[in-house]
Amino acid sequence: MANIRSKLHMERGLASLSRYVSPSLLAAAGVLIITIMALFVPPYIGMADNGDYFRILYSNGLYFNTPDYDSQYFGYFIKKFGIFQYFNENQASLFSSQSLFIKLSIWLNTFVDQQVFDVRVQAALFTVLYIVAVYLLVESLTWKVPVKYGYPIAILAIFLFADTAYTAYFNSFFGESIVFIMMVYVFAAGLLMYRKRYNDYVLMAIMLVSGLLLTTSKQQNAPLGIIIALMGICLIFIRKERKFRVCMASSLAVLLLAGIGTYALIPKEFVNINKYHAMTRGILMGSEDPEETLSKFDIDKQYAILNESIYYELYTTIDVDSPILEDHFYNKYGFGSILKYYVTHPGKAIDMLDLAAKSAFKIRPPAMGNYEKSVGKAFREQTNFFSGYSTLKAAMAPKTFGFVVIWMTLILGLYMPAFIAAVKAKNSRRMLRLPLIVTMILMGLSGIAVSIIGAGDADLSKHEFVFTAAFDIVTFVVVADAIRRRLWSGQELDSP
Amino acid sequence: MAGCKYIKVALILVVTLGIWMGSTSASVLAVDADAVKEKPKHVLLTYDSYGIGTSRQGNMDALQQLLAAFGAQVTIVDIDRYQPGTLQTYDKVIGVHNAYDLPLSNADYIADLEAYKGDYFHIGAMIPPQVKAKLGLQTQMASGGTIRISIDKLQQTFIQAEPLPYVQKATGRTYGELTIGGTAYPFAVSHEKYGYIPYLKQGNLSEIAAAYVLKDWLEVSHKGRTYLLFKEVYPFSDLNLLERLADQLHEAGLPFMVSVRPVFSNTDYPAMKRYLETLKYMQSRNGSILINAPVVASTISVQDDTLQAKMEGFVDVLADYGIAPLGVGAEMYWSYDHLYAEQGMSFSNSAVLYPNEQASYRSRSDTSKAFQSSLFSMSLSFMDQFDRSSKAIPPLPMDSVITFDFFKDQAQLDTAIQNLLDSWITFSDYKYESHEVKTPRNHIVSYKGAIAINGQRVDLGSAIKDISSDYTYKEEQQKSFEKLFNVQNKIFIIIIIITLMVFGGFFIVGYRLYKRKYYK
Repeated sequence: MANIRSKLHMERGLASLSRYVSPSLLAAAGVLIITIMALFVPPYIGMADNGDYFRILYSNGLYFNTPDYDSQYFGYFIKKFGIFQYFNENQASLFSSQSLFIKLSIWLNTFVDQQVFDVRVQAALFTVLYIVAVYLLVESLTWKVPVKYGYPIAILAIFLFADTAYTAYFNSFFGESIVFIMMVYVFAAGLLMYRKRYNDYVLMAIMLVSGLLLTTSKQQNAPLGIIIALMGICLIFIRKERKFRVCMASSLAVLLLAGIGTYALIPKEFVNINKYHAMTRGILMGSEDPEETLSKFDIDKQYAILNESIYYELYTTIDVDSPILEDHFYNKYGFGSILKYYVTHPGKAIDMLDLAAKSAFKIRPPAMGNYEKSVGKAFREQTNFFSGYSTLKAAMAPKTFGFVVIWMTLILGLYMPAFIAAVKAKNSRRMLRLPLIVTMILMGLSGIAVSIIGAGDADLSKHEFVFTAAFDIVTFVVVADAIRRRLWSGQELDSP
Repeated sequence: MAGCKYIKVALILVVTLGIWMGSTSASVLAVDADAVKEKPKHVLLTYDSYGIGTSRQGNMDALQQLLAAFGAQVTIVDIDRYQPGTLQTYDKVIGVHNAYDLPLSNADYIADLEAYKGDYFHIGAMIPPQVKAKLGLQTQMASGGTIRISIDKLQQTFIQAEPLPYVQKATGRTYGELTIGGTAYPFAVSHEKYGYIPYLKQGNLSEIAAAYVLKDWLEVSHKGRTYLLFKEVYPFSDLNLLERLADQLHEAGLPFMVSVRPVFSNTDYPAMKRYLETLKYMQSRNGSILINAPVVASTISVQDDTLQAKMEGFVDVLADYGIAPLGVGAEMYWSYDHLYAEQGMSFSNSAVLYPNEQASYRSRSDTSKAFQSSLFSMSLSFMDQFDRSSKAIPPLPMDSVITFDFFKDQAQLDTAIQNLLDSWITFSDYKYESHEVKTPRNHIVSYKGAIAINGQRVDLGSAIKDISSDYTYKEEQQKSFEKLFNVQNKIFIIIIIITLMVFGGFFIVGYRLYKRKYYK
């Protein structure tokens, strides 16, 4: 009796709470507060430069103004950068959506300081975008769902999405922040369409814009646009009006073109660092006879000496950007020929996938420190502040590709009955959920494939970010659906 | 005293005999190597400006290279940051004044210089009064234009110069000529412990001309020799072309040096063996092997103290293969960096210092590391820009080396060898001088054409061996209970197949029952 009374009491309490704050608002507010504490309250958390900042920074009119910048590579987060006051000769060689955010942040920064750029301005911009994305995602899962399910989902969302392994990227010039935020937007927009929440046209616009920003943020993300466009075909049929269908088809076509366009630019901008690793830490490393493997690419067998070597080594035999390597090594292979090699040598591909799985569950690359030098922490020290989820994931996830396969099978198995039921009921909108989840899984897999083909086993935990993000978003949705009892039943309540 | 002389003569005889009989012991060679060791002269080099943006830019580098070639240890001090009392701790000071229009403002330096009693050499404008007085100098500023420099048998005409000081009148010994507007003036002056050069620019004859006067001022008596060196040699270079280079130089009677890039991993691979085989062959064709500094990555991580182990490891790889590295080749900034000098160069007492291309310091030092043997590196085109009164290029005051980047193809190689023959330069054999390379495992010495590794004379006659590509790159992992697991696998497969069949059977039966129940 007392048990029932306390249950009733709790439900009444939750109901009255929901009048003031919905689960989605709670999740967004929780993520906001924790992110503010992490990024905007000393000691500020950010990411150290691993040498990648140079290109994106200088081409956007910023420069390193810290005197001992070189000695802080990998070790310490630096928050201030100079703004070019004169003509900038480092023009962007390639469009990246990341530049848009940096330019916008610089413009906002000029209201405060015209000469010194504070990366926290960019972090603030990302935080606002992120909060909205988290709100939309949680809303898609908790809208019209009993509050006793909604709030646990919101708390779960805070635990996952406020993790500093993700949010520390906002205080950096790595493209991962955009990738993560936009992935959440794409998925949230899709799920909201499935839930028939908000105006479909607005959601379509959100999906198009976030999909474009995601695809063009990094060259490695070219396949993402293509995947969204192809998997998104089922979105066309959720409404019967011609206007909607034309708009949706056009949006998907734009995403497809963006993907192809970004992919077409890869060969030119497939930077040496990744190209070097793709061979030395990928193909050669997996080969039983590197000399014979090199001959397949028409490369001099002497280059076998580079087997397993790393671009970042301080002392090397040859300058990794030297014309000799350019003429006799890099020029002999590209994305296509590496892909062909793995397709024709599936055994090697599986070995590499297993290797990739070892790093696929680390959100935070272990190489880069999170603190500013002035904080007095050790070189490369990383924060423990609100990183329970990422720590747990890195420690507990089985690090084999077999686990990834089981995870995918399980998720497809869980959603398949609902999908078949929707097909039988000929309800196009209700069919959406499985294709959306498959889209995310395919995006994650493409992240793994691109990182192996693109850079071998080097920097895997950073390159595999798309996988780790997709894994987390999908797993969150699955757990949320399990909490609200919607895995294989009740979809007619979700999507009437 | 006489006894000493006899002992030395006897020692030399023993050494020569030892070499002749092919049984020279390293310890004997080491004694001789030690015998020629001298404490390096320590020179303080003060400057007011690097002359960046002017024609003087780079002359400090040139001067540092010259001083290194004369075996001097150099400490550089910016006059603006001069600490009182520093001058008095040196016997030799060189002052460079590149800012012609800015008088010195550091009162401490001016006072110390007035009180300074040691040897002093001045370059550029703003000559200290006592130097002016001792050398009887009368100088003027020329407005620039076309000038001509000549020294020994070399001359360079049509040098475009910005406004420059020149010596109108001086007492003491003069060196070369600096011709401005048709009138010849002395290029340099020295008298007793003072010296003066009005004009020094990197890349023209003034660099070589300065060597003549500096040699006397530094009291170096050693006769300058010229060597021939090829750098940018990698394990990935065209090894056949390297062999042909060695053959052609050998046929032309030109001894040479190769500065080879070190390899720090996979040194047991067939590819590495082929590289070593080629180097050994080059050594047998009268080539001397030097170890080039590795490439330093621009994104520098602060924690890496592996340089010494890496360099010594590579020396050992070479030595174990019968190749005797005799020195180290590096850009000059390496000798001005504590870490590079101590960890990356200390295994050798001989070096070739190339002009700086891209300095990437890790622990910058004001004081250079001095080497017992250090060569002034220059390209053949540098020497070719000078007219000479004799067919042959005269021997230079310092030990120098004509440096080539290794060639891309046979055509480039042929052209270079032809140019070398046309230059009439007499090249010396590097291993005829005393050089010593030491690691915890190996001790390599050269003297008078013989090389010994750990006391064993290196056989300099070697033919190329074919290196087989057969190599086990990956050790097969040790497997235990292989048979047991194989049997277990088979059992499991059978069980799974049987289970699936039974399951399938049940499924079909169940489906039929279902159909019978509802579709009657």
